[in-house]
Amino acid sequence: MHPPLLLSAFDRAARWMKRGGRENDIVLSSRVRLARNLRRYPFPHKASPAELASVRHRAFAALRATAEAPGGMAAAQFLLFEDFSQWERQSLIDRHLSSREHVQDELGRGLAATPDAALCVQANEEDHLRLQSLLPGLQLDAAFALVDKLDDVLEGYFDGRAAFAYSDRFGYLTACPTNAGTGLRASVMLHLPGLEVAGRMDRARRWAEGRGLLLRGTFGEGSKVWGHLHQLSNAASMGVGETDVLVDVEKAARELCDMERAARVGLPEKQAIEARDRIGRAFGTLRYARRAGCREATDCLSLLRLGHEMNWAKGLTRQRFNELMVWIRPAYLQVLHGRALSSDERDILRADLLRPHLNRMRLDPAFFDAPGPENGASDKPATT
Amino acid sequence: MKCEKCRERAANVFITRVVEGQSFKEKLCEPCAREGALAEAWLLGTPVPEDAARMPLDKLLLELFAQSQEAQEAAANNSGALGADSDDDKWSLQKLAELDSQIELGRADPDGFAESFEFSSDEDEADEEDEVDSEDEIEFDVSPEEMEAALEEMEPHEREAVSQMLEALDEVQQHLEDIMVQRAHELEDSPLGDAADSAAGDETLGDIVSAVEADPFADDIASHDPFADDAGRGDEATPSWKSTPTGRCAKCHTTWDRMREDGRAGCPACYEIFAEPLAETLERMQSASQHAGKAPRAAARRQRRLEHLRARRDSRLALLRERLEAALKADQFEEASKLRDKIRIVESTIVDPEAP
Repeated sequence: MHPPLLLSAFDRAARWMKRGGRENDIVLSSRVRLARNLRRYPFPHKASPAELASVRHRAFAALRATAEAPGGMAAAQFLLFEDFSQWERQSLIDRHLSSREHVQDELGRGLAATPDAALCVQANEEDHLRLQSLLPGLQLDAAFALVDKLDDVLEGYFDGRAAFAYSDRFGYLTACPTNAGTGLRASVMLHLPGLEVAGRMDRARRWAEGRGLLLRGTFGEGSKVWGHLHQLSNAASMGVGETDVLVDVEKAARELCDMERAARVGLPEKQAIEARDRIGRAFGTLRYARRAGCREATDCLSLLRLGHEMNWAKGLTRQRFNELMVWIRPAYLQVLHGRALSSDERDILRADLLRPHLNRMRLDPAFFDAPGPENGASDKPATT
Repeated sequence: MKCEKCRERAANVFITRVVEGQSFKEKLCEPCAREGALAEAWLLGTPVPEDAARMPLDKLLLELFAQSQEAQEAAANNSGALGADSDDDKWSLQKLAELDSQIELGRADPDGFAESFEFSSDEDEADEEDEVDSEDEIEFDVSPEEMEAALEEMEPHEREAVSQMLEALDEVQQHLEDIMVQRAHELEDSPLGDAADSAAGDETLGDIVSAVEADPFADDIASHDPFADDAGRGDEATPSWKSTPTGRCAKCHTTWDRMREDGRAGCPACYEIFAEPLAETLERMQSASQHAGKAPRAAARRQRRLEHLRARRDSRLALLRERLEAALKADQFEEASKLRDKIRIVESTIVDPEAP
């Protein structure tokens, strides 16, 4: 068993948590994923343990061999999932390095990632290889350039060995035919509390669907929304080029940012009491609570982040918000402490972790310019 | 060891009859033994117990044979009354008349028969000749008489060749039978015990044969890599999913129904085999079924490099040949021989597609 995985193998703050990228008041991160499969093996859900191990071995060998090549994955960490406990693997989900399906089975699964988590390769997730890059802010183009280069390098290595599964008709072949074609998924993590408080989330979701895009939960397909974080991603991967997909998603993300900003501008007036109430409660909770559940803490942090963007609350940076959002996740907490914790213990530790940071936070006078009853009469509580 | 009668199921009933001091042994399977006993009883007019179908076999046989003795005595009393019409009837009547009523029943004890098999071999062969029609081992289009006539017309060496062929055929058949016997024994020996026994009984030889035959066939399919020959990967080469005999992917045995339910293909080959229904589905879901994005670059690059190398070699060869001709015309033979050597070297260079 390794020493606590994330503290030793990865940087404390991942690349996507730091400053960078466009629109990074609302867009937390941009993620581009390419699905690739080796032609001679059945897809992971049909493969035997020996085949899974072989695929992983080949993938890691390829990454090691091409590490020095331009576009290769330099200084990568190679993790075999058999070496880690369930909660250690789950902490990888919290860092957006893995997925629920991926960490469920340990046998033959693995992950190779750079220490800053900007580039990673998931071995035997739904597909044999999933190349993913994760960058801060809205920079899908840069993220795609990273994975595209890595894809070229790997393809050059595998060409003549066990080439990627590709057909002229269906493009890159993937386990799920909905990914076949480019195998590309471009997604953008959007912080949309304004739209949620204003109750316009459903409209935004329909709007995205109308453009052939998906607006989903924080951790991708079938997940819930945590801390007002939504994932906007492309739906189609067949019949469209990579560039078109990236442009579409980026354009939609910008428009959603504009909608969110418009909602935020309207908040102090239109939802004067509602907005102040929510943010104030969030501040109070995290500032004084001795026990904080994960969902509660995440939502409070998200609201404080909204307050920060509206200049109502000061003292914490965007990077700190990003970090805290990950650190308070249950699995991550256990990794931080290096042992399995009961849920009660976790709640106490979470509150302890947050309190010092909240001590540094101050509420701006603008926040206290509370509208009197005469001003707030028009305020209607939003239905979220 | 298989049943003498049906030659399909494993023999597990061993009957020894002692007729006038000579013992005859039969190796039968249970259904054949039962059928034979009942047939004989019917011929003799022996009363058959009502619950014959449910009776244990050994009990049934003993009872029938015991009764046949009584019947035989009765028949001896009023001989001729039964009126033997056909040869078959006569044979069995005679045989039964000769029966000196000593019956031994053995079950699954093949060791005891190792010697006796030789003893009765003559009769076995005679039986086989009689039964040849009913067997579905190898069917010849020509009757044995025709065959004999044909053999006589042949030259001696031809005759020899034919007999060799037939021998080879026999060997193959024997080998196949050995496999089946082995398979039957495996089924018997399997730890499931009784359940496996009954399963072995239910399993007809046809199943075993098809299983034996299917294996190499399946291997053949499995080893066939649909992506192997990139050159012949036209639309015609793409096997239609309807044309696959089982409607399954030959590599991972995924069916189209399974794929639709699961939402996932089993292996890259599935895309080739289920290309048509997949294209339809994708057309519905993504309103496109033709890839329009990045294609693997390394393969294309390799192809280009290869063509470039070939072109360079060809132009170099052309140049050298020109110079050779010029040298020959000018009677510069030393130069010409040098050039010829060079040409030979260039010609022998293989433009290796795998070269980096």
